[in-house]
Amino acid sequence: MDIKRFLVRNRTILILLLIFVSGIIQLNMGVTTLIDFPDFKPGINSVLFHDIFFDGEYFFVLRNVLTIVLVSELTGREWHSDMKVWNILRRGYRQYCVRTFLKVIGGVILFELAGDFLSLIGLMFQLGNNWTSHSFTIAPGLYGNYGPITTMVILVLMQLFTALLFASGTFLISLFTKRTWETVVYPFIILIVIPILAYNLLPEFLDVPDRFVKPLSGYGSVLVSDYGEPKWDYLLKSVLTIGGFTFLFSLLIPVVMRYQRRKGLVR
Amino acid sequence: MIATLDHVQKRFKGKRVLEDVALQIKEGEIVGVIGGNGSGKTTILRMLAGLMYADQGETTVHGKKINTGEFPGNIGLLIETPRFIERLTGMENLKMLAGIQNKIDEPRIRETMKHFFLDPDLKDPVKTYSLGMNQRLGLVQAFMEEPKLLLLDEPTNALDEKSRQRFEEVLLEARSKGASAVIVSHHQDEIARLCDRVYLIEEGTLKEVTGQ
Repeated sequence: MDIKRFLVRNRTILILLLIFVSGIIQLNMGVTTLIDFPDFKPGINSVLFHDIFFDGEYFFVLRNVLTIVLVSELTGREWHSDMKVWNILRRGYRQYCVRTFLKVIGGVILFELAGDFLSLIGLMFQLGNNWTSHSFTIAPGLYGNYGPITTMVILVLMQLFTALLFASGTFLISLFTKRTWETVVYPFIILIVIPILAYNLLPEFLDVPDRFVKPLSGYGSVLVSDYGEPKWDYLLKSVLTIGGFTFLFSLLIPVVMRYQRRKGLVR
Repeated sequence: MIATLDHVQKRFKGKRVLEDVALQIKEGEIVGVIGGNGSGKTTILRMLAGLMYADQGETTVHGKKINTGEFPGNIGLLIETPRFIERLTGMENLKMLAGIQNKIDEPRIRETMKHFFLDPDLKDPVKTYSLGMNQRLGLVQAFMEEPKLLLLDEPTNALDEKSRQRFEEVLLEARSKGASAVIVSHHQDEIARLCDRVYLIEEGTLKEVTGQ
């Protein structure tokens, strides 16, 4: 099988490669930043988390776009073919929908972790097998209260939480689409472009603290080296905002699906 | 009875499409429904498939009441133009479909594809298929698992004469094995030739026209 055909048919692998490439670019930028940042030792784990949460919103956007594309890839091709109808007829509507939702959640978590793993390997080539073991250095905003492993688990969970926000949002929006390309374009506009435009263009938003309007930026607070103030407040509000939207999207998904089922909109 | 529609009514945006429709399909029977565009032919198939609920009345297939949210098992379905995953080959699409239930193996898929003049080893993705090939692939997916009830909406659309004849042969062979079918079509001559009973749907009601 030639490589082009393989990649066209298995776009999920392409997305994984893109996550890896974005990780490498991101990490290279991060290393450059961290060299001038005395509080951070360039252990590969601290560099990774610093980049994921703190360095440059453009890469935040890129990662989230990749999450949207991934969800579209995992659901769109079935959703807009008769494979959906055949699955429903054979498995039942509820089972199929639950299965698809779990596939999205599982797929996104797997890809985020795989992206991290690949990025760490890439970073290992660049910086050697050096790990930061001091939890205060990994995430100063967590105030050094936990060991390095727990700190890293918290950071990975925050990362997955963000991915799930975009995954559930994309899945919800894709229920209203009629073509596969719409499952990428509409979530991109609704989940990424509109919030950015609203924040930058509407003066009302300027009075709202960053962590509510751009909850992802609140995550960065755990990596800020501010000795005077623990960042739990910022982190908690960010998590609540992100969790609130994820919960809302996840709640709306079965409601919309049930409505579509009742109205005969399955196909 | 394999399937029944019992005094079924259906409205779309206030317009009554089906009004007191009753239909019974026996085992090994082929029933045809003819009618104009928008007369409700496809709606009947959708209800039998469980994709749509009746506003009033009851739909039963294989003894299951469909209005309760259940889907009838063991049916083959072809509604309008079949839509496959475009970047996969025909064989890959069918293998994916067969993988849902794992009732049939690859040789059976290959055999059914060959029946409908499709090459199972063709490497071209479905998006390059002609309308006729796409329709034949749709027929393969409907027939390959040997369902007890076939719901076919305009099954001979875009088929050439040879494929049309083959479809009739395969359908009659399925009937000889005990399968039933509901065929919806504009082609009255074809319906009359193939079906044991033919109904005309007009103003939301079914009228038997067999032998007229």
